Amino acid sequence: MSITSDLLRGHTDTIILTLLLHKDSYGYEINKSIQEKTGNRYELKEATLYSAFRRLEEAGMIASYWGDETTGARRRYYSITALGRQVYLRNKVDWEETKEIIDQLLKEEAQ
Amino acid sequence: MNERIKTHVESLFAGAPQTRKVLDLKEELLANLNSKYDDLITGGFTPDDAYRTVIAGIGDISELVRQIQNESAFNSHYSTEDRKKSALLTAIAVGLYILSPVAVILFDSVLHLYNAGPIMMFVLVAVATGLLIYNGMTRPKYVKEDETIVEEFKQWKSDTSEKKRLIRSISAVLWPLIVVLYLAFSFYFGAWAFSWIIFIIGIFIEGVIKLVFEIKG
Repeated sequence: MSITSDLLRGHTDTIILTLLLHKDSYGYEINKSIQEKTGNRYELKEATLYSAFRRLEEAGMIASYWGDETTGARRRYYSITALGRQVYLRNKVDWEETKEIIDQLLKEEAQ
Repeated sequence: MNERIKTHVESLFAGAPQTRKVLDLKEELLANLNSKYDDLITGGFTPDDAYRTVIAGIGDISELVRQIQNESAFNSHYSTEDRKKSALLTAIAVGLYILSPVAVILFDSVLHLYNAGPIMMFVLVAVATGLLIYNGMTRPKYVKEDETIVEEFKQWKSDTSEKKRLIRSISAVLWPLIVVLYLAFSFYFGAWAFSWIIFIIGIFIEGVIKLVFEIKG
C-alpha cells in the first residue's frame, strides 16, 4: 500500500477538488468519501488533508466558511471556486494522458 | 466531545502561537476527529480502539503548524480581516457615542417623553462601551515561540503595546462617557452651575487608572 500511497499523494489536490465539484463538504466527510469510493483501500492522514486545504485555499481554488451547526462543534466547510473547476478539468485531462502513456510503456511486448 | 482526543490535539499544538489561524485549525481538526470517533464507536469499535485509530490517522501535523506559524510574522499576527473587523467595531462604537445625545433631544423635545431620552442614551452608551471592550479583548496576543532574546522582545513588545492599547481604550471610553454624563446631568437637573466638576473628576479617574497600570506592570 505504501508505494500506491506515494503515487496517489501527488493527486491529493485533484482528488479533493473532485469531491467538492457537486457539493460543499468538510474534512471528515471528504475523507470518508475517499474511503468509500476506494472500498476502504485509501484514506488521507489529517495532516495531508489540511495541508492540501490550505494550499488550495491560498491558490484560490477552494474557499472555506464556518457552518452553523445547531448541535455540537462548528465545522469548517469548503467549496470549489471557478478557478478550482478549471484546474480540476485540466488535471483530469493531464491524468488521462499520463495514464495512457504509462499503460503503453508498461505493456509487455508480444515476442 | 471526547476528552482524550482533545488532550491529544492540545499537545500537538503546544508551543504554537495562539493566532486566529492556529485556533481555527485546532477547532476544525477537533470537530472532524470527534465525528470520526463517533462513527467508529457506532461501527462497533471499543473506545480504546476508536481512540487509537483516530490518533493514528492524524499523521505528522508539525509541518503544517510550523507553516502557519511562519505566516504569523512579527507585526502581522492578526490578519487584514481582523483589522477590518476591529475598525468597523470602533467606528460603530464612536457613532453610537455621537448619536447618544440625539436620543435625549429626540425624546424630550420632539416626542415629549421625558424619561425615555436619558434611558435610551445610556443604552446606546452601554452598547458602544461593550463594543470597544470586546474589540480590545479579542485581539490575539503574541506568545513567544522559544527561549531566545528575539522572542522575549517580541512578547515584551506585544505585552507593552497591549497595555498601552488598554489604557488608550479606557481613555477612549472614559471621555465620551464623561461628556455624556455632563450633558445628561446638566439637562436633567438644570445644574449647569456646578456640573462642570465632572471633568475634573474625569481627569482624576484617568490618572488613577494609569497609576494602577504602572504599579501592576
